Amino acid sequence: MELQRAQRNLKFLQNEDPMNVANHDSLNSESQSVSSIAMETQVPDVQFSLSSGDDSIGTQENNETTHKSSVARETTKCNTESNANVDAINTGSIHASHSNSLKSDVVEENIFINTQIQSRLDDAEEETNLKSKMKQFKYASQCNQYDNLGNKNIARRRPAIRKSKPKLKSKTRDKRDPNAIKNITDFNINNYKLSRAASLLKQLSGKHKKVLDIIKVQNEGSDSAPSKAKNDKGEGATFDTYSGQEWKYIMKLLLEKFPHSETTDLNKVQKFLYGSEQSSSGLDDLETSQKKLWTASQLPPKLPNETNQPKQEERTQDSQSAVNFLSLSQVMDDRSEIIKDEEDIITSESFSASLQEYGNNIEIQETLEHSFGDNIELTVGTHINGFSLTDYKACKPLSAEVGTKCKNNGDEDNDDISVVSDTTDETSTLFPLDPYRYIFIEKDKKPASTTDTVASTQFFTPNTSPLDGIIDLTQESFKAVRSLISPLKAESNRPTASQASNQVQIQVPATRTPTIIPQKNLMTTLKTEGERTDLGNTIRVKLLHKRVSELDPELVNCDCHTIEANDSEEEETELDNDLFCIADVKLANLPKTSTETPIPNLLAKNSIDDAVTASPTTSPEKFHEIITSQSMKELRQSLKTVGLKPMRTKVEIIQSLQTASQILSIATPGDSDGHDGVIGFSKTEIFDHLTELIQSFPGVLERIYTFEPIPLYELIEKLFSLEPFVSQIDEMTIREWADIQGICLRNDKK
Amino acid sequence: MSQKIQQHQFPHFYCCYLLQSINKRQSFYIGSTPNPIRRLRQHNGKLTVGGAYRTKRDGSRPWEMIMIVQGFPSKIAALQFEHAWQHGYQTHYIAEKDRIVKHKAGGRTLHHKVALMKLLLKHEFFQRMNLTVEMFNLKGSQIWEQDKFRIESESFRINMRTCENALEEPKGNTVDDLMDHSDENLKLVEKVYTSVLRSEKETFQLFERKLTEGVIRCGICEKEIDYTSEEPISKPFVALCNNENCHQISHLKCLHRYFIDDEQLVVGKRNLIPKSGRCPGCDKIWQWTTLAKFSTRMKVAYGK
Repeated sequence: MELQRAQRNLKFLQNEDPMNVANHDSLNSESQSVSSIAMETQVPDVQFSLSSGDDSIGTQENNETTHKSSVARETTKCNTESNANVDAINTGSIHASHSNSLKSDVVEENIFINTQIQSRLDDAEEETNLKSKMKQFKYASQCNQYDNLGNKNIARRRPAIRKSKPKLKSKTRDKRDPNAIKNITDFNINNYKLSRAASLLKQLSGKHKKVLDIIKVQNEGSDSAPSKAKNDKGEGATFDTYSGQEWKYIMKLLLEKFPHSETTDLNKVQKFLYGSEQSSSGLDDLETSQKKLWTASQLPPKLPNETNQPKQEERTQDSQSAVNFLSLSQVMDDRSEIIKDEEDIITSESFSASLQEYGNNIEIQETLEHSFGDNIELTVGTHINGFSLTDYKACKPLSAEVGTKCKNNGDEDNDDISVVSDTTDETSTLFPLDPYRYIFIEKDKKPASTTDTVASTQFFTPNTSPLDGIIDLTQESFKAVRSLISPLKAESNRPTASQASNQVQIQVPATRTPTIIPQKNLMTTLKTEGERTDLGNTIRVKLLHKRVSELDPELVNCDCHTIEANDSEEEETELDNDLFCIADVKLANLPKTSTETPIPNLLAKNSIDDAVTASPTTSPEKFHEIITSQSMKELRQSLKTVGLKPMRTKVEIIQSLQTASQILSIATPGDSDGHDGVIGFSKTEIFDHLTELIQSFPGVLERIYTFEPIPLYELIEKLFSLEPFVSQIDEMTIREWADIQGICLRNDKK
Repeated sequence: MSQKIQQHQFPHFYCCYLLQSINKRQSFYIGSTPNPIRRLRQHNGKLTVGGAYRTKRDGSRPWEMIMIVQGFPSKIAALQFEHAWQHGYQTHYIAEKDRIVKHKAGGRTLHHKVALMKLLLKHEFFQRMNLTVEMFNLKGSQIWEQDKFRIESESFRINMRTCENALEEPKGNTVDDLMDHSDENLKLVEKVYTSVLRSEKETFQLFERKLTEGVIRCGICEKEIDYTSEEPISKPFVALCNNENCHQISHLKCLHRYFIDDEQLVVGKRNLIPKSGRCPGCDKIWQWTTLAKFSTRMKVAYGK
């Protein structure tokens, strides 16, 4: 019943078609209603009931056909054909539709189409399919356009979106160049088109990066093409046998889908598929070149240098560009070693040469690569010079080559093999090293006989390196160990030590300070020491200069002690001259020489309590060392207690404290004994200093003793003019000083 | 800068004072003034000119002036003292470990007020000013002597004078009692104030006489001082002895150095302002503040 109705409707519709065509300005969906309105005699509900029914698709198709029938019958045919085509491809991508296949099916079935091309073709099909389905929702005019242009229209669009981005670009350029940029909106629109295409690309295929890469490759052309080609090589090798027919088929498919695509685009696609070498020669030359390739690939590997050479070069290029890669341990190594080894470094060229010599085959490489692969991934390395791990990985073929080479050389050089096995074991340390070496290779330097040098480099493992095992004390900071020698013992061994002093510099240790003995104790210790002459002939004591002079007559009285020069000391500070000296008191009856040398700067390493007993802290160098040994927190604290302005950096603090100590020590010489401390001066000294300073201003002094309030800034200015250091004194300190001195301060600016 | 528009001089009178509400005994007020009589009247509403916002609150009037500290060398010093007294919990004149009032809301008893004042006067800055405390209330005097917070010690004593007829606590709560108390307090303040001014005026007049005799020679540096001349150069700060018989006149500068030298021998340290010294002429002990006070006044009066 319904079927009958539908058929009847169809008839009516076909009759009424002209009217519909007249109303085609409106939406297609509306056109249905329009038609229904137009068909006054018909029951209006029928269509809708039908559309909701099972045959809705059929009716839609009918509708379409009715729409199209009046306009263009042929295009509808094409449409259906294309639909069929889509179905066929969708069901089995390899099987092309019979309707479209112009040539033998046998070939097509065997052809592997590149997945990317296939996917694009599929996408195109799908889209056309979809569009054909959605057609009823379009505007009638658009529908007409579609009907008129058919696949062509779609095909024109497709490349714009999918494939021929470069084409679009060139087109726009052609348009733009003559016109230049007339107006910004145009320019924007053009740009926008591009960006829209890109964004659409992104949206359609989830693989943004891949698509972008493809586009990039296509744009850049031959520069980056080889790498791509290399990537596809495995595929390409399988295609080689068919490529002539295959390419034709693919081209045919492409032209079918995208009839407007140009030959340049096709060339690009081909280039993408088969690499630059073949594509550079056009389609005509293609077959011959491929025959070459094909035959070449079939030849035994020994003969063709031509075929292996390019690969080899690629490898070497990769290795050269890629490997600036060192493990941490190597970084820590001496750089000079590596440079030294440059002589020994063998060129990768030599490897390639050897490869050619021994007819290396790819299988070995691959297996080796696999075997290495695991190890390489385990390697712990730091990325140097921005080279990433992948870069490093790029060098593994090279090392693989080494391995293969060694295997080939096995009969010649057994060491090599053993080393190789080592390398596989110790990739964590060794592996990065070798490629690094090869970086230094220059093509000009092609060592004629490489085997020896190979061996030498191979031998260089971190473990076997001659320098690695030795801690070089002359270059590293392990001097502290030596300085732990007891002063007494060192003294007893002195004659030999002084002889050897040319070779080994014995640092004067900090541990000498405990030997400082107060005067009273000295005599007792001397006596006790004197009894034990077997320990050594001398003892060394550090004394205040005064005390030595006091001590001297006593020693003379004792008649067994002399104070001898301490000539082994090299570092001298003249500032300490007056205060301290180191005296070697000889306990045996030896020639009496009584000279004294000042001690070196020892107090840096002293603990504070030592410093208190050992010396006054007036010496700026000692002071500096004490200060620098302090932590930032301590420094801040001392800065605060002293009453100087807070500083940000340690350097500033130290500087400030130093200048303060210098100024104050000059101002109040010999007065610094009474202070507790680390720094050697305190707030009271700053106060005293300020008091002295202000007395050189009689005017200000008068105002002070008449209790006239003085603006603080004026006071500071006055003090500053006399002593720039005042600027480093905290304002609160100055206020405090003013309070103590009874100076009445006021804050006003005038 | 030394020749300012307004030449610095010791104020004739400047004091910080403590008020206690007669009506509400727990209410106190600390202020400073060069004229305590006028100020007290302002606080009590007898003088309508002049601000007394804080002491105007309901039920707090009349106010009794319990004590004053006077002898400040400048208004600024007095204001500093006043502020420190008001903010005993945070002033830098009292070391943190010595503070008896830790919080803003604390220390609202007479004991605290008195102790705070003592702490401040203990500070070197105010100690040097040689300030005097005048007590108008017996209760206050007792508290002072009691020294609840043990601030004073053998080595540290403050000049405190309890005036004669110092008041007891108010006898009753009637308005008349309060007003009587207030009036009596005002009389005491007046008495102290006028007596101080009078004694100083006498000294000043004596100095005036001595200076205007003509050319004088500094007892220390022998240079001429002539306050009768027109030239400001010959009119420096001078120090005079208020002993009628002592004719010692010297530059303040010379005397300053003289005193400082003496003090340095004793203390072992050279300060900027000496506390006191002996007159080179008559061996009388002079407070430096007194010398400076009259010297500055003299200079302001005649020095220009």
